[in-house]
Amino acid sequence: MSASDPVRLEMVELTKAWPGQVVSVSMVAEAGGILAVAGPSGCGKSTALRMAAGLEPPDSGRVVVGGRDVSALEPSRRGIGMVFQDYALFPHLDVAGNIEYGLRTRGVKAAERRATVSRLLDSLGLSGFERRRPSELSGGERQRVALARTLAVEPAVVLFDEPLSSLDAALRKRLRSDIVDEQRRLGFTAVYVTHDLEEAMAVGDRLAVMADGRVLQCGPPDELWERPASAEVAAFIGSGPCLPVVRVERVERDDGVVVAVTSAGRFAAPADGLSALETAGARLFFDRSAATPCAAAPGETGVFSARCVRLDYAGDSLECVVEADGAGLSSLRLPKTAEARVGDMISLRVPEAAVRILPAAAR
Amino acid sequence: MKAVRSGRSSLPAAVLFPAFVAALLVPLGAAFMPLFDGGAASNLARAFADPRFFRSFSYGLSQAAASAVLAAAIGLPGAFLIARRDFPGKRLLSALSAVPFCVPPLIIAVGFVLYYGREGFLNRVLMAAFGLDEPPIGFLYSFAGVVMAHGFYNFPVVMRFVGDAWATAPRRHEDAARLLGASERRVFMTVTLPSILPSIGAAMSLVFLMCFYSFVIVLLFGGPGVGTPEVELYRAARFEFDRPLASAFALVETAVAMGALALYAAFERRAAGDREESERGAPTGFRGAGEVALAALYGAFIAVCFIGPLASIVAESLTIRSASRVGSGLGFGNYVSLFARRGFAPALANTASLGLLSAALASVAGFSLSVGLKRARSPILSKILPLLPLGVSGVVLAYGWSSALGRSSAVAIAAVQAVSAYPFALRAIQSSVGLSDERYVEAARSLGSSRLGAALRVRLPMAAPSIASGFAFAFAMSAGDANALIAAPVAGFETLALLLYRLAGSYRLNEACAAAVVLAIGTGFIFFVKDANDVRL
Repeated sequence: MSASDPVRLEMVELTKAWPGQVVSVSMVAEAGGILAVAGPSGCGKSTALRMAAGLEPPDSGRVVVGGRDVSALEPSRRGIGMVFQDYALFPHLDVAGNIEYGLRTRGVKAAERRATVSRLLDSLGLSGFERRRPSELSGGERQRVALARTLAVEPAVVLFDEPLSSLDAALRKRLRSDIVDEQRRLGFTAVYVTHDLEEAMAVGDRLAVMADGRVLQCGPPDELWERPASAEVAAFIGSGPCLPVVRVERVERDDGVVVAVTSAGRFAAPADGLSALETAGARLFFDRSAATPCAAAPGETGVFSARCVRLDYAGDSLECVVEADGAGLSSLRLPKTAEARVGDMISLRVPEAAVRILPAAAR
Repeated sequence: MKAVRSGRSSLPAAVLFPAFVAALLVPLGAAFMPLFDGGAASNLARAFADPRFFRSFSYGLSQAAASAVLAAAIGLPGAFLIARRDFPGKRLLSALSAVPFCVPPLIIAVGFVLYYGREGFLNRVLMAAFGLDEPPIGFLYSFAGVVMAHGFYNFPVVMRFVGDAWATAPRRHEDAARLLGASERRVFMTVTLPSILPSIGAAMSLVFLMCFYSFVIVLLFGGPGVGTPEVELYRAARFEFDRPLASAFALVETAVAMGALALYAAFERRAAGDREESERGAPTGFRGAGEVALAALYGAFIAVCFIGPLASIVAESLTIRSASRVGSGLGFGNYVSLFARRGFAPALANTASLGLLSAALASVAGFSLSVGLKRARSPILSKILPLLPLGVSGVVLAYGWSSALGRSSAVAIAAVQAVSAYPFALRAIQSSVGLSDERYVEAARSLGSSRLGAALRVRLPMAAPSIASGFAFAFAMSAGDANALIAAPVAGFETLALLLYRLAGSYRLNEACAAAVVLAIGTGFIFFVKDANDVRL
């Protein structure tokens, strides 16, 4: 198995253009880690994956596996395996036939094939499943067979193309943790594409967010959640409100903090790279659970007021939809102890450390 | 909420269902009945002892099998092109798939005579080009000629069936195989082929069935010595008045056809089962000059061998030949003399009324039964019954009616044609969403509609387009059909197809071609009403 020596997968400006649409991506999957790629349907994430695998010829760009440029190689010579949506098990072959498919194309002897199949089935907890048909397997068993089929040819990198997208929610959750467990155990490098952000954050060591054929931001999931690089990323992730910044005031402090003025209130925020932001379109962002109701009057720095339009009980917290002046609707997570009623104007305080000023689009 | 009672509501189905069964079983029973005149066993023994019996079955089976193989050989490249490639002229190629259903076999036969015959277009061209004294192509009136006519006539069936399956053959599976190191050849052999194999089997068994029951083409090209069981049945009943022998032919050929039908149903089920988890990928352009060259070659082959005969009908219908057969000119003279024929106007009216009557019967039965069959618990009822008429020949049914009634009748002919066209009408109708998705009716029922009301106000309007195409199909097949009327002529009842048969038989080919064009305009109107690609079989 490929576990011994995980390698890095780099997609370098892989570009493909169609009339009215361009996909151009650069991403790195670290050796032995899972890179999750999330984005709305049609954002080009599957195309990026297929370009990396060699199934879709790119117009330009390179694919580098473990430092070796594989762009010119046939799909099967790149050391890249793929687990497909719905797994794409060959329906007319049994489990053993599926798993040994890649070995047969490589001319591996029958005895050796049998040994590999049973070793893989053992390691995935499917001993004795050789003669079953894919149609006789449960969803979880199919996934493991698909993984075994991919791993049988010992790829350095495994790509997962929305493997769970047609399954129901409960099964998805279980199967995605199975994938993570197997990846941790076997140590292969993985890229996991999904349109489901929650799934992507749960699965990925690193997360790339894509839209309109571009990678908007790539980093650890918590970084994307807390420090989105742009309002676009924040809006996709939905981790907190983005209030339009009306103007920025410099304050005479030596820690580089400025005051951003929004229609709803004034906030102190770090000034990093702000000169580029003084133009319009900048947004004030904070984590949706950073705001807490307070008694302070609006106008005080770090406090804003908004009307509560909706209040839903979310188990461990209250989900509160507020309408702030000039910002439309935003969703906040308030502590359960918060006293708010639908229709009230409430004052909310945001700690300075949670506040960031974002450009409209990535820099 | 009121409990749903299912008994009361199935009234239309309760009436139509036995009516349909009667329309199938009464003539079938009557066709088999003469076998019992003087003991079934001795009649069968006599039939089996007749060398003609064995000869005709081996001829019928072998020509049908060879035709199915030829149709597959011609149709498979077309299926690939339609499913996987984008190219100019693709719509034309895929429109050909309506030909086997909308162009009557008689027209194909006439076209082949004009094109491949001794004095046909192809021979004239070849003789002029190479300075030959003898026509080089002389296979038309032989086994090879029959197989060729059948193969070309039916290749669009294979092309459409397999093309549909190929277009939905799971791309992900092919990609998976590629990533696992399979060459393109191996991807095809181990992934694509297994997934389209059932549809190839289904298409070939359908073509086999249609060729086994082919009547006019064999009658015209088969020569006097040999005939399919269908033709021998006709000869025994019409000219030898040996009704027990005719019944023996009817019985055995129906049994054989049922075997082919069972094969078709089995393949069809597997083909449908495989489609469940698949996605459709967009066809791509040609990959490389080699593919372009092969596709162009294929297109030229189809144009020369198949479009040619069809086009020569139109050309011939516009060609005026003088009595000396030397000079010829262009004009509508053939049409003028055709229209001036005394029998023409009644034939036109009879064709229209016969076609409309049987199409109405077929599509009403198709709609009611497709609603009724959905609720049938028994798989035999819901799966086998819709297909059953495919395994029964129109000649046998027509023969059965005339022996049941003691005479021929135009209404009986309409019933025969309705039953024969019904499987095709049903297929078209069943493709409708309104019929396949029960939720719409459930929604209407929950809003207070009665079951009949839901059928009329929800199902019928939703299914209307597919009912229209089912109707058009049935009309085309019935109006173009000459088999039933040749087998059981109704005195004084002439149709265009019959007129065409007679004109072709008396070598008045120019006028026959004019009649063929008029008939083809009538039966091919489905092209103009609907996009041929929507016509599902």
